[in-house]
Amino acid sequence: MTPGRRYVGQRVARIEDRRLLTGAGQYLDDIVLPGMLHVAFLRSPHAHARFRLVDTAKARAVDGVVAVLTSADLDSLVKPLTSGINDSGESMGNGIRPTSRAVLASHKVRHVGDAVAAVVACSRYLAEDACELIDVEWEPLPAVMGVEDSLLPDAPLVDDALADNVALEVEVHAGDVERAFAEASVVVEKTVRHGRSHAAPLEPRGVVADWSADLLTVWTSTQIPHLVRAELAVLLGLPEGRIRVVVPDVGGGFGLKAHIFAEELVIAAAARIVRRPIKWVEDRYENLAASTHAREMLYHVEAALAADGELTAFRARITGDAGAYSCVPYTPWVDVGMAANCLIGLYDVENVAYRASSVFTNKCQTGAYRGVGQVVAAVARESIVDDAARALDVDPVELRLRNCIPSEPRRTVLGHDYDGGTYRECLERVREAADHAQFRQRQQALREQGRYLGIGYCLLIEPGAFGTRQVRAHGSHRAFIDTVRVTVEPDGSVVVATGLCSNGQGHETSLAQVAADGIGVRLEDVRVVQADTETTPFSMGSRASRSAVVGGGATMRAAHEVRDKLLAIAAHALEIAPEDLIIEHGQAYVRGTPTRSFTIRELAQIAYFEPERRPASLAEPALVATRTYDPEPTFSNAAVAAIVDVDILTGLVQVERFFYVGDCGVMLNPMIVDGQVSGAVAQGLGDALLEEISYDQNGQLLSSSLMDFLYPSTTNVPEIEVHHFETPSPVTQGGIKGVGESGTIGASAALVNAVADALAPFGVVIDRTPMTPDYIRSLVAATVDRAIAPHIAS
Amino acid sequence: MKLENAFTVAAPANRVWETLLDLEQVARCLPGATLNSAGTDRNYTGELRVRLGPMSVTYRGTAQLTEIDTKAQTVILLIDGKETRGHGSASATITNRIIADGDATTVLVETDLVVTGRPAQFGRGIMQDVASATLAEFSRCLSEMISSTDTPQASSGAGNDTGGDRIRELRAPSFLAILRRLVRQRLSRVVGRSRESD
Repeated sequence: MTPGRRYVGQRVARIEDRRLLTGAGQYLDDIVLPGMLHVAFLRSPHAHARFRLVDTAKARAVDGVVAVLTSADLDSLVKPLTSGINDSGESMGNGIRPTSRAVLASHKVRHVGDAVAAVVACSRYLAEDACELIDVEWEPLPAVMGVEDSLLPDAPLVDDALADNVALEVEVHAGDVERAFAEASVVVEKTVRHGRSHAAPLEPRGVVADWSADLLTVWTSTQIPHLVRAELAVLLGLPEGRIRVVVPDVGGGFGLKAHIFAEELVIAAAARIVRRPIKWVEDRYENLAASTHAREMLYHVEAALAADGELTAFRARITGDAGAYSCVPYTPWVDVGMAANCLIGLYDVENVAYRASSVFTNKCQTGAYRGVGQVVAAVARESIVDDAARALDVDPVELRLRNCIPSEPRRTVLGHDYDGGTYRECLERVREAADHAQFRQRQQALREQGRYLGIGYCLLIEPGAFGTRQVRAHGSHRAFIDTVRVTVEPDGSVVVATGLCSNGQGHETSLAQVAADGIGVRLEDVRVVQADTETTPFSMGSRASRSAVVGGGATMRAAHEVRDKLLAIAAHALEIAPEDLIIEHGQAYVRGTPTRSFTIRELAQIAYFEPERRPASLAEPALVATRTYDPEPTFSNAAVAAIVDVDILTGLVQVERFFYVGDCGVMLNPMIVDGQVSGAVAQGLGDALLEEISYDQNGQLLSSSLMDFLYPSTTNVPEIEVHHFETPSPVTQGGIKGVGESGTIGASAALVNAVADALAPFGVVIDRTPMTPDYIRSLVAATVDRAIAPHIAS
Repeated sequence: MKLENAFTVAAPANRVWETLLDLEQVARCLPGATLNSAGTDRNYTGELRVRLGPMSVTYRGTAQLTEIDTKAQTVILLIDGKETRGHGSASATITNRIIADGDATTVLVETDLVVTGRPAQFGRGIMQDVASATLAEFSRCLSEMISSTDTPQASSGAGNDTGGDRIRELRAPSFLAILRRLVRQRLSRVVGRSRESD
């Protein structure tokens, strides 16, 4: 085994699984503090209404109720939650409208589930009962329920402070798009209505807050503890140094928990008012109605092609349904901006134009969700490429290969710095895995028997590892840095402290692998401490496929710095040059003479307690290093293929096989990567076939439980066949790339294409997601002659 | 949510018209409805209990006959209720129009129903189905009531404290029966389809 690479790259069993799988995990709801009270929110039953709190006395009078808090009680303690404003108070750019809201609605609710009061009581039961006793006078207003309605001149205003319902609007033009379209031999266009999706983590949101001795401690199920602390500090008027944000084990986040929520502010303020610890754990209804939704967008896309199939231009008009509020800290830009920016994918296109906007409606706010924006972009792009292939009567994979950029690093026309990979190779490999030619034969044979199978592909690149340059290339003003501290304790054990926080990704294992290799110790001697602002250094959080790159990179740097100290001590003690020493398996020894050695423990003892044995050059002997990392932009790439079996009578889509071939650079732990891919694919499958948040025309939430918002399960998700290429990134520490989302990005688009391919004999166009049985049936029915098949046409 | 029903009874238009103007009689046909007290001018307070699967919701509110247009033979029944526990609401504007057709009379019932809160959000589409089944039941019951010769006459006074009990004695269509029928309908829809396709 190569020295320095004992653990990285190995399928090391996950360290945290013993705890998590034996039920010993400590999640938010497991936190119990002495004297702790519970909160239930009174949430709006209306999509849009003015209201007046007539009477809260009856609720207050319930035995066990400690307080009923409304906007009036909180406004003096909590500043409004603002969005779309940069640190100097100006608009963030990208045509984003700055907005501001009270943490509890004060006179108007903007969506079903909008919170208007918080009842603090001895138990959640009592708090919920008391909510029902609050007397509210509702004056329902007409609700804006779609992007088209939202833009009508007489549309009701969702946010009374704005002149219209536009949340953001931006236009980008690169190259000579008009000319490319004018000169095109073939122009294909389509509009896809991407459904309103939702991350639906198994563990919903939750917050516990406690004020004691001038310290506010907030436990919250989040992906971004340091950013939550920063927001709490600003809005509560406290120094960050007096706030501690702790993240317990998290049962899934998927981007939903990478926001700052009004509830976090309310619970913190409520704990200050009642001077007792307070807990709020949202129920499934609250999660579905009032956290964040995602993806709902109208995506109109056009592609220009030369007669030989060369793609010359893309043009898009994208309108997102932002919901009622501008999510913090991203604004609705996170969805439509990424959907626009990821339009070209891996295609060699030099002319691109888009107009992206997002509008407010009377629905729950939308925000980040795994594959943010990119899922929508991939569905639009990859399905129009298939449309183009049909128009040109060429094989869809061949058309993709014809237009795929070479695998070397390059700057795209939209200013993104791809760092190279295996762009064509993945597609060729996935076609081989799916046995494309053989499938076509089987497809034809089965069609003759009335069975409709289809194959669909998606070629994609995933921007990951958001550092400052990557974020700015995607239109944000923010700077992104992450810091990791590595300590070798006096007994030689190692602690890695990071503000990143696993929501299930396995950081305790992957970062321990990096640290163990970086220093040269055994994996079992390393412990990873995460996500507590008191004990871990600053981090921008675990989101956007960044933890492996930024966490791995910073851990590597810090581990190397500590190793250098150990080497200096060992070299001094052995009277040899540090270059002639090797540290591995927790031993430092002379190259070629393993008997001349020290254990890490012995070296640590010298470092901490034996100044006489230390080299004079080691001015600061404590074995600790805190290092920061802000990676250059890096992108993983993948090609996926799905084979589906569509039952045209029931409209049910069965995914028969799913193939993923990806390249995320150096894999810290291929087993964890495979897990990420599989979970991501399942989520993409849900997006494409099952999961949809729906409202009726009055804004009532129809998918208010998991009875109607359908998770994929073992019966829907096939075995996912995963293959990897491993092209180290030339620009990141250790060659690592991010890979948390590409499965989701690829799955939706591949499934849309597979269903379209299956239904090709009917000449249907897939123009929405999810492709529910009702939708498939309606598509087929519209094309079938009633006389021949009345049972389908009805 | 807009729903339309129509029924024809073998009774003269004036008889039908009178029945429609008698809210206590009309209320007997609304499953789960109880009229508590009569206010002035055809304005009643009452309760409506609805069962949706595991959920039971009681609305308290008002029912009012309004826009009584003898010439056009239309009358509007406005029902407006709030959940007795919780913050949801239900309101219905039921427009009844009478068309005389010889000895028979046709009643067109147009309902505009707005429900908010948990019942509206429970089980996609169930509320719609329950509402339309309930309205169908309401129409059927009214039609039976009008055509039956032994229809109990409404008390001459504008309701009293025992009115609710008396009304409850009458066999009102139950929600359980409606739900059973809905399930049957849905099943037969699916089974029927696949049989046809065989």
